[in-house]
Amino acid sequence: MNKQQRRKIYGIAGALSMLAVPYFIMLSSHGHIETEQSLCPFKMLTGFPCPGCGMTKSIIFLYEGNLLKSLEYHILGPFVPFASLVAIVVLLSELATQKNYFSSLLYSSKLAYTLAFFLGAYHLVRVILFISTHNLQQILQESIWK
Amino acid sequence: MTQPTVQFKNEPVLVLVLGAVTCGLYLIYWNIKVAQVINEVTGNEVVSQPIAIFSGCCMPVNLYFYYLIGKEGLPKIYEKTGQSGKDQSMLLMILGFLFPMVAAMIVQGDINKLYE
Repeated sequence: MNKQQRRKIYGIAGALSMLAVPYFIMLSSHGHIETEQSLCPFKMLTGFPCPGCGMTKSIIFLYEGNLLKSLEYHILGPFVPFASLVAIVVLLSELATQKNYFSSLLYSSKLAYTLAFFLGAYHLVRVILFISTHNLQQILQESIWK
Repeated sequence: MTQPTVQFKNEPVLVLVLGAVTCGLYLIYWNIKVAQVINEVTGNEVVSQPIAIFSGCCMPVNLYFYYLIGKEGLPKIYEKTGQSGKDQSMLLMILGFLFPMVAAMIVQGDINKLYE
């Protein structure tokens, strides 16, 4: 197995875990997901959200059929299961046929900067809103120091 | 040693501080630049830039990102800078999982050696 094939297998494993981890958390949370401590190390330490914060809860709410709540937790959350499914299908096809179908998209600088700008702008707005709606006590409650 | 055309020399501590102060916003930019440098140094498309932007804190994307950097990116940098090759993928994955900004600081320190 060459390096490229190994990378694709790891990609499939990553996409599968993106789908499976929120599902198992949903099964074990017994409907208390909103009050559960975030597992993001940055949020656990500082109480502030990182760019990916809320993604897991967003996917869980999507699994529960609550799209609005899913979008509220992370605007990109509802797209993650879809993107993961597409990635699994494409990577499996590439492994089976020994061809690369989405290389130009996967390694596109233009797409990367567009996504980065979108995620950056979204995160900036989210942090500003977070600071304006939380006092120090509430920020600490989001961390493990509460 | 020929330097990469992508200029990305930073103080490692600055990466840690900026990453923390901006709540991970800086890491979005940092990840794109690192992917660019690694891809150029290896002469191969090792790290996808659109995926790299989610590697700042998103699990398990960050594990995948730091695995590739440690397994394929950094050994090539060590080779180019004449250092002994070592596999840092496990260390970077653990740090990337627990303290992504510290892992970023270590990678930045190694990338800086390309510009010395």
